[in-house]
Amino acid sequence: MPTRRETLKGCELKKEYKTFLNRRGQLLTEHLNEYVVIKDEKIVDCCKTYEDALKCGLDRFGNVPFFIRMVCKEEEVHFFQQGIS
Amino acid sequence: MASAFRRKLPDLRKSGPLCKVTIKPSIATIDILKSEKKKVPSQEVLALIDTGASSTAISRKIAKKLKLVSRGSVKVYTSSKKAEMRNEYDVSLLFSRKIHLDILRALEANLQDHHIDCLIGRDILDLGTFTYDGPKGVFVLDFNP
Repeated sequence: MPTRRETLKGCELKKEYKTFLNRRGQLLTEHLNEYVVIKDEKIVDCCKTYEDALKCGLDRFGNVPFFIRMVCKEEEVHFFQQGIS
Repeated sequence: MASAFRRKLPDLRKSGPLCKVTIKPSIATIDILKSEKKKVPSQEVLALIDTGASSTAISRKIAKKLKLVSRGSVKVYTSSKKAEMRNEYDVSLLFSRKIHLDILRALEANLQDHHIDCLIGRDILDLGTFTYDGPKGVFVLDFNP
């Protein structure tokens, strides 16, 4: 779960992100290095590439928010030297 | 996709490697918009090639203008060393008529204190060779090295 120092404020896909964190153990076992597609609290599919996952979500739901994340052993983080917050 | 993108700037050191790019939704989303007979949003912006950025980022203003739809929430660390969660979008980027990247992930960023709307990160630089020639004031991004 996000730590106290992190916040999901401003993120549209809070529910999906929490679903990802809650199911991460199972996903690591069954779908390591695949891209999971999550909508609301459901895992929709797991795909080999980001492009496949994107097309899967678009075909299923249309152009609405849905969550895509690569299932990795370490959580993906991004770094910026510029102050962008 | 072919060829290199080359820019000469009068004061490269001061400005940094700036360039104009056109941002649209990804090609996959564009296909959906077209099938729904909706207009495809597009925006030319000023971007900074930033080797200190692990990923490409776009301003909230542009994300809103393009009506981009969130495809994820990712953790971001900045120079303040505080972790924040940000929306992630699927976009396409055109450096020129010949150089276009069809499906990219871009993070939302607050760039309002900067004069740019996009940071080109190492995810894009990973696809080619970036050359910075200080004495000549020229930089080149070559996707076919």
